[in-house]
Amino acid sequence: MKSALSKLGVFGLNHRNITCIAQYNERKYYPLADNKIQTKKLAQECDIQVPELYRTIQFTGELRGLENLLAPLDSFVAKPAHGSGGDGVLVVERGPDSCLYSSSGKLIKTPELKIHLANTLHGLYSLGGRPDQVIIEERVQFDPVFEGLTVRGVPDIRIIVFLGVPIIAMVRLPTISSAGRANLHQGAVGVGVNMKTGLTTYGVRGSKEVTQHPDTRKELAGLELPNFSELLSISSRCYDFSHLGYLGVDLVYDKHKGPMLLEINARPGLAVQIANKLGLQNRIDAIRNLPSIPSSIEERLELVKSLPEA
Amino acid sequence: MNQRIVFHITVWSLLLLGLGLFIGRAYLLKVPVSPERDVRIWEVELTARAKPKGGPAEVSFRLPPSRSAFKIIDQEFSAPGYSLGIRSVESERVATFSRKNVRDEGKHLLSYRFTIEKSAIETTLSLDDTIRQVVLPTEDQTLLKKAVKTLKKNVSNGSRDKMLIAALFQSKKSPELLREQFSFLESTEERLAAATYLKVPARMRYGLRLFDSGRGKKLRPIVEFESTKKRYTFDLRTKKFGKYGEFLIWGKESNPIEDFDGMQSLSTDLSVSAVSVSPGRERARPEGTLEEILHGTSIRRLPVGAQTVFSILLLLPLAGLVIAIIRNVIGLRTFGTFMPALIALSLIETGILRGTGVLLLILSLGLGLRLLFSRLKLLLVPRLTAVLSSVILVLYLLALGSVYLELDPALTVGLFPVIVITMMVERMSIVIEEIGVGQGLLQLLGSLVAAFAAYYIVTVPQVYYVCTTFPEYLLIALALSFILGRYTGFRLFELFRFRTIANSPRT
Repeated sequence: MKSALSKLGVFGLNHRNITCIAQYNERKYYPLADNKIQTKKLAQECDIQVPELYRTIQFTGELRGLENLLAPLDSFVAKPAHGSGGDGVLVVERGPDSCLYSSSGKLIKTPELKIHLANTLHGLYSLGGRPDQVIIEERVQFDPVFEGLTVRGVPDIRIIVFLGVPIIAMVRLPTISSAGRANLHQGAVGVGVNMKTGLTTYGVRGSKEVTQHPDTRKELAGLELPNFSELLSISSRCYDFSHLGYLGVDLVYDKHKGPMLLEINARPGLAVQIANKLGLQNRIDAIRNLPSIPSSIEERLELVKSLPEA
Repeated sequence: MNQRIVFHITVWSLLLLGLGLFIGRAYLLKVPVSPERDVRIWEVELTARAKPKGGPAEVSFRLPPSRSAFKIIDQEFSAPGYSLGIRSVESERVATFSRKNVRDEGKHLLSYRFTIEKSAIETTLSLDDTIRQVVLPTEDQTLLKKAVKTLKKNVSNGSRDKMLIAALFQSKKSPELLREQFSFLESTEERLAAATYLKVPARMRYGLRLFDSGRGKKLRPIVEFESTKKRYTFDLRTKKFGKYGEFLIWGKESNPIEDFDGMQSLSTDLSVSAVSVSPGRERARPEGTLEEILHGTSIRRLPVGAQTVFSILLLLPLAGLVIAIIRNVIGLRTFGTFMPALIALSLIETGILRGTGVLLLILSLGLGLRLLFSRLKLLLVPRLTAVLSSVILVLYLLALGSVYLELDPALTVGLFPVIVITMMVERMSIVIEEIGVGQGLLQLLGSLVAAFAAYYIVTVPQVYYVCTTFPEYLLIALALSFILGRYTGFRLFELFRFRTIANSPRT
């Protein structure tokens, strides 16, 4: 089986850590990628759409006036600036009674919210447990493109970009068992994407293949991702501001604003290989063997069309 | 390209150097490559750290007898600037270090280091004159005779003698009736005289327990007695019987320092270390520079106390390699990188069954408390402190409990295991709260498997011996770490995870 996997270009964590991350991602650029606030600012400078940043909270003391701070907002997302996965993310909406409710409909009282945000500030959800900042940002109005394919939560599209060229992508769909998170390790469904057509291909959950969403039973394959070239363009531009040669980009569709950048990842995982039934190595080699990487986005997207299938 | 060459050169140099030194030590110095069984040799070191006042200074060490259950086969006195005199005081040897005038300010280190070998000769117990001279009053004699009558007739002599000793010294393990009969005896001399009267010649001495290697040892009060022509010991502290040869009998006093003068302060330390091979097999006199280097870097050059510390430390790199293989080659997930290695090492101290039992007990109690603390909605750092306090409280109660139940209070859980357990409790509770109990238990299982694997590999007698006798193994461990660090192959569990890619290819 190992040779079958190698032929397809599949590799494991050891190879990824040594050959991709250590080689193409300089450690000095990690802090930028890990810090969602920095990412947002740099993305906006490059004219990339991001959920609007309402404010940041840096000190526990700021939580004293939390109610006033949040008063003008009807909905928001509170997340750790250095979080990973969906850890510590709180999606909040204001009900008709002016009280705050979570995305699952539960009432959120101010003391509870303060403790959650204080924990976030103290580094409970941050990588490495170091003190962190809280981001209060715009709540994305989800585009109905994934209707019937998601249960609550945030479906997103993960694209892996190698030296500025998007090489592989997958859609991550939350399920009931993943509790609304798009985290494949927690039960979400990953669906591969054909890079040339923008159509979804195979579904995977855990390490098993699935053809339907486990909760809604809708077919996973054959869905066309709208504005696919814009998705690819955004992800390619992320290389330019992040300087990370092996990069994971997470995007969502907003109903009104179209594709938006959620975050970037310096250590993207390998489940994308399972969802596409294809390894990354052969495509990485195709890009590496080029004499040079074009600097214009259009030329990079042309390269996507010539990526090897296996 | 350059990077690869540098890497290969480094790794191969380390491997060759390590192997070279190993072969040199084994062939040139003739250090055996595997431990011998049943070696009855120990190294003992008595050290005094003294801060002199200035002027004349003197420290006297009580020395153990040169012949007892053990023979002293080698000894060394070390006291820079002091002169040494040995004399006999009441059939005990005393070594006195003295100096006419001390002018420097610093601390002085005086030590007596010796090697003992178990002697085949068992001498008869010579009773102390004081005991021999005690004539028990007639009432006492009658009471004793009456007490003995309560013993069952069909008990063997050996058991009878042991029961008498246990009862005389008020051990709860002897029958209560018998103990009460002996409660009129008040002093140790009376009890010893009573034992002798009852045909179990006995005397009290202070001895060093040899089976506990380490520093900071104390001389223990034990009763030496003779029964059925053999000698036994009875530890007055733990109330346990032992065979002749478990203790090195030191002398009649509990303090190995007999006297000192002209010192502001004096602290003593007694260390024991078991030796795995007969010293006679090694070449004592190195010839040539290489042999001198090899001889000079042997662990035996260190003070005995340091030897025992290093014999644990030296196992860490190997344990770390085992953990690295389990995580990066097999793909098991564990809590923390070094936690399983530290757990493995502390299991060596406590024994695997008892150690795992204590670990799981404290983990579950700690976890329970920690999950309760979640309800209190505490901030992160104070919550960690709360977990730490609870874990230590539980340990304290457990240690007390084992004393009252007369179990072996060998719950010498050091600092590291406590920290490790606290961190594990915290990580595990986060995993449980955020992902689920399943993942939490899975990672706990992974950590335990990794710890057990490291434990079993490191405690193979040959492996333990090589790691602690050949320090060049560290160079090899370093090289292996580098090699493992560049391993790009699949992890075993990944092959399982990626199986759908290979099994049902694209259409």
